[in-house]
Amino acid sequence: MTGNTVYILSAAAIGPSSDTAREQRRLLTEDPHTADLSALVKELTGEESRRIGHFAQLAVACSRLALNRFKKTITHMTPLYLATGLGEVQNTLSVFEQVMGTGDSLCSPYGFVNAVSSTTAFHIAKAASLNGKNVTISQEELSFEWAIKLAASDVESGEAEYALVGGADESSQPRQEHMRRIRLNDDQVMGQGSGFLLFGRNADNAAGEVIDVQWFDSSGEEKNAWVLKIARLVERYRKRTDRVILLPGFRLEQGDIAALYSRITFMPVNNYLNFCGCFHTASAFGIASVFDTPHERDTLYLHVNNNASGRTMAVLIRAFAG
Amino acid sequence: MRKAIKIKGMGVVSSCGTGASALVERMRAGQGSCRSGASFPVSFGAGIRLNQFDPDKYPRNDALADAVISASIDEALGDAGLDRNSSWLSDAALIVGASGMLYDAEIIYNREKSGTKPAPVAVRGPGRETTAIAARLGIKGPVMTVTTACTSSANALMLAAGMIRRKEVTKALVIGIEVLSAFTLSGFYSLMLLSRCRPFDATRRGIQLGEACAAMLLEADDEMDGNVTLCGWANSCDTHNVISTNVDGVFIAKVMEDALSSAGITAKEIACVKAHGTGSADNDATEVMAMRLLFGNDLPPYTGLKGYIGHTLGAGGAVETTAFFKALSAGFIPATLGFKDVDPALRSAPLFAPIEAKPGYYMANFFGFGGNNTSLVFRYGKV
Repeated sequence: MTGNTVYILSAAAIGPSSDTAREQRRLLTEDPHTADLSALVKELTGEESRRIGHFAQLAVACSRLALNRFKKTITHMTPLYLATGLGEVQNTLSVFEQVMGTGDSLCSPYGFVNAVSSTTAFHIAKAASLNGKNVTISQEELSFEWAIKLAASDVESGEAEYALVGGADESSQPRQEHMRRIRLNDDQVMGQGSGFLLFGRNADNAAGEVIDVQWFDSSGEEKNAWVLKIARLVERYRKRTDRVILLPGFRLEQGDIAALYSRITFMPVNNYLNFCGCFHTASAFGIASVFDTPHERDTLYLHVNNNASGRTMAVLIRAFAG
Repeated sequence: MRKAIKIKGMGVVSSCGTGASALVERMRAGQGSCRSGASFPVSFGAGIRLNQFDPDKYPRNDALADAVISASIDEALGDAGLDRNSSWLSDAALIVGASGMLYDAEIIYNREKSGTKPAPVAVRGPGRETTAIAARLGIKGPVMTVTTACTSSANALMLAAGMIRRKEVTKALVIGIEVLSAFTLSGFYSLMLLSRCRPFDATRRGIQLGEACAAMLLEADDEMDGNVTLCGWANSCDTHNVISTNVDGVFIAKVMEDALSSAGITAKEIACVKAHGTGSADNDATEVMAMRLLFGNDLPPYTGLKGYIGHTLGAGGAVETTAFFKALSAGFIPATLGFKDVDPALRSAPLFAPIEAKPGYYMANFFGFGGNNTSLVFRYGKV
């Protein structure tokens, strides 16, 4: 990145059990139950959330938590980027069944409005009094990576003083259909959750910084080249005191991880998927949750994920000591 | 003035037919292209006026989106003097604006209905089509889908232009795509928003849905030789209400003002506004109110295009931009089809007959559910 440094001013992650802090995180051995987030949304926003779905609750609560943790007021024109793979899937399924499964083809107006793709970002903006740019990005397993790229660019280029970026996805039933939709194997844990980061230009009390977001072609002849490129990226930014931790995305295979290990030394793995399960925007939970606790020393986090069409994306951030 | 982005090529498939020329001729003649009744099963669909793809040319099957996207891309490439074998696309960004794309889930559902319990929404989310297009075209640049309801492809244009202006990429393919579904139709029907499209007219009652696809090729206007250039943009969120913007027009005026600021020009320099003009009572009133706040009582000419092609929702940004500038290139600014009588409450009339197109700055507005408002400023010809 070449412009302003993009500082991470605050972060929040909500896991499938409505866990918001490290001590609440639970190792998942099977699909988690969907937690009722109404009380958490009420606590964080002061508003009832009966009319919004679970996906919107995940996004609204998490965004509000990230902003609360910043403890300062941000400008109301702060841009907001929301990433999601499937959006309001539970509600969409319900409306879909109303339209397709009955003879009259009619649906609930509330259900339809909640299923509209811009509705959840509206609720986030309303809860946070944000009137700036408001964009929802949906690109399957790389949705959050692209949203981070866009939000960081706004701050880096000087177009925005702050940028709020997050990702959220919910699971749905029946399990088999949901797994088919997100192309998971039966032995993977069907997860859900959210993660939000507030970016800014001012280093005061910053928790970290965004170093780079890069994309690579990992198909055909380029199959192995991306590993070398990522290794060079890490080496470029690694300082002697930096610890490097790999955050593997849910499409990253063991062979990919082994290939990264062969090029990047001293890199422990943070298997955040053990706490949130697999979903399109699990990377949002993974990246935001590294700020659950303070760091004793500067630490580089490298998040890598693939999609099914030969595309790899890497997000490199630094968590500051203290 | 900040660096502008050249629109290098445009292609469109709409209810007027395949290609921009079919659409331009309808706009020149002041003819719409809607039909009565949906081409897919919905119980209330018989009397509904819709703008749909020609079902003979684009049958309603799993391949429908691919077919209209391919036709749009081919026309845009041809418009730019390129073809599918050109390397232009390989390192371009691909940004698709779409509001949901559930039509193929319905096709799958209906196909499986006779067997075991069908899988509802047996598709992978809005990004799947974008991933497939990128793979098909060998695109290696950024690939993403913007889903902000009716502003989706307008915001896709905005994001693409921003990436080019910041030099993150040198070029981009932007696609707006909307294929109507029973889901979408039922939703708007349940909100009692469907009616014949009469933008800004005294008798306007609601929107007329349409399906369309447009492809646009964008690149930096380094040579300053672009005939159509995108030079300013802004997007904002009005948190007044999820389905309607505040009727005082303040938020919409602000987003238009921000787009002018982004372009480095003043309101007086706008030659004409391509209004959002849905034909719903409050939306059109708000848009006129907002224009008065920005331009004063002496409004520039403004026109709405939804009478020709319907409200194409997420595709609207790319489709209406393409339609508008293809008409300008053909020498005219289209009239507002469906407008007949001035609404006494608005005391304002959009263009009701075509006028000659001249070089200048043009504004295009797009507003959507979720309070999502986008304004784009273009330069047409040598100013």
